[in-house]
Amino acid sequence: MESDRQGYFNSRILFWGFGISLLLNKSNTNFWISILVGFVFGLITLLLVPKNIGSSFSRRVSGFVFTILGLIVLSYMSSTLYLKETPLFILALFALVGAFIISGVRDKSYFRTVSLLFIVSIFMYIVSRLFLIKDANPINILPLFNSSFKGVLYGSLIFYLYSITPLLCLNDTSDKVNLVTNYIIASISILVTSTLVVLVLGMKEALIYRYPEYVLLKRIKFFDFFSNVDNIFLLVMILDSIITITSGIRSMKLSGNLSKSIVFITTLFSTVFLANDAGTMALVYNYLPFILAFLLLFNILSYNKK
Amino acid sequence: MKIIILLISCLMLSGCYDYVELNNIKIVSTMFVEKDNDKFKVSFEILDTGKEKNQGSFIITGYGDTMMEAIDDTGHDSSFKPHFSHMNAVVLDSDLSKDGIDFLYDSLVRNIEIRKDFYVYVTDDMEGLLKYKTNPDESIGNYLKKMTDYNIKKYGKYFTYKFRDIIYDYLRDVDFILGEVKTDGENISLGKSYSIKNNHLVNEVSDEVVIVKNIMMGQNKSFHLDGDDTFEIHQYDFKIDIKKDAIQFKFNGNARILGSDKNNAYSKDDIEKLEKDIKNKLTKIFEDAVIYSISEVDVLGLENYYYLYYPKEKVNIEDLEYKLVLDININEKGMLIDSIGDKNGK
Repeated sequence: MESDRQGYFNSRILFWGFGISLLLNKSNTNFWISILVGFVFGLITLLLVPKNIGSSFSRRVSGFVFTILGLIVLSYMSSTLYLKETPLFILALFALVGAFIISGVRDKSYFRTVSLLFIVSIFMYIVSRLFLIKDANPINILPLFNSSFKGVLYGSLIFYLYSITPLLCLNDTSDKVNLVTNYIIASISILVTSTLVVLVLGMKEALIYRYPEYVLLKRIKFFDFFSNVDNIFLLVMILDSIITITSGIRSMKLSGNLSKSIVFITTLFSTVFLANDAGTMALVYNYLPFILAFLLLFNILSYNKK
Repeated sequence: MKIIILLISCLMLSGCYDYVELNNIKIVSTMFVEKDNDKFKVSFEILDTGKEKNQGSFIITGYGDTMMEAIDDTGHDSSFKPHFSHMNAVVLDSDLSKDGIDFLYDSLVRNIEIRKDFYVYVTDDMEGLLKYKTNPDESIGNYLKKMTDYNIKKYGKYFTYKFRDIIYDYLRDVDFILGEVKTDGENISLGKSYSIKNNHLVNEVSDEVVIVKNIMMGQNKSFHLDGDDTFEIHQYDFKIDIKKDAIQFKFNGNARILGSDKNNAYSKDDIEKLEKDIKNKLTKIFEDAVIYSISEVDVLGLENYYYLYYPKEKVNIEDLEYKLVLDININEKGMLIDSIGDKNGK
């Protein structure tokens, strides 16, 4: 069976602008313990979970929620970081149109494209992190073990939910090898990113940013001739969101123009309603762990008995 | 469906509708902030990119009750959009700095356009700087940046923070240092360095403190030790070891003789005497810096260092023991076999 790398993108998407800042906020310099604990629990879940989890209905609900979440991540990030003057509606519209077009292609072509984008993403990810190693200062991870047990536990839960829920809800759970491989690679990338955020920016500074992972990219500089390259490396995050939006649409298994149109309009307006207001975005930011916990349980409990 | 996709694709090809023409963007090189009759006065040094220019930059000014209001007010002085991503320097009035500089932080960190690696300075002569006439293709900000980089890297007796480092230390409640910039009307030059405690300018710091701060920040490649003999310390390593009851500085590096009136011809003993001389000087420098840091303004961040390793200990840094382990080797004497005279002309 051809390897399916969609899970890699799905597992990472919620960390950009949501997961990493919340994780660091809760577990402070013990973030790495939280990630490792969350990772182990995630791995156990992947190995133990039945191969046919999720009913058709739960998959569709998850697909709808993750399409909105992916679109929120992409449009809010673009709006905050670059296109401040462009209405969020326009940003979300273009991204959604693109994702709908991609989701319409045949499975084989889709998975081949995702595999190709996986290579591009991994390559850019590694290059960007290599440039940052020289700026990493080990003292920034001190003081060690300075957060409460509760904080570490909450951090683990965040890592677990943000990585495992989209992976299980949007992907084929019968292929465990693909699932576990994608999860391990995605987890390593999040661990490396979080560690570099702390080592380069320092914990105190990392905590003040909504997008510490983006601020990190702004620090990439190689002598004087190679700088201001954050835009290029941001492509990695954009790929994550585009593929997650597409995965969400595909999970809904839409057939017929009417259902497609209804989903398109509902998704678009829900995203604009949520992402166009700092107050509702704060609600999404704070309640996301509960939404994800619900989706995960919903999918696990409503598995297909066939 | 295909027609709809085609139409939407055409829409995408239209580009950003809210773009700003390149000619309407003016690059800010320096931001000057001072108080004028209880109002903030912000001036931008804008690079002059006109074809027939007789100066490198020009100044626009705005006033307001807050810094942001003053920045907005600069719009009354111009018909273009200031572009901050190439800003090299922020110069603060020293009187304003005495009242506190925390007004600067939030808005500059929040703004995504502004890169955080510009230098921050204080000045007593804001009027002189604003009146300074730049030559074509020259700007105060760029000139200050180059001068600061060179002085920090080469001599180590001048120090000022980049904005990014100010935020780094501010968030840790660590005091820091800002360098002075001054002008005599004809030239712009770097002056002394000043300590900032709880975001208020306190007093001038000595060269010794500046040298140690430079070493600790790891930004300079060499520094000079002056006196009867002049040495350049280079290729050095510096490390701080924090123990429960002591802070130990470990410094090892090489020295180059730049000028000496002592016999240092062939004898190993003579060279060792010079090395001892360097060690004494460095010991004095570290002693002075530590004393200043523990008794006046903790610009070396000793309290924070201690906290990082022993977060639960409640220790007064004055009660800690301070040790210095020095290993200095003279590895270059220059062209001379022996001293050929008194460099001070005695």
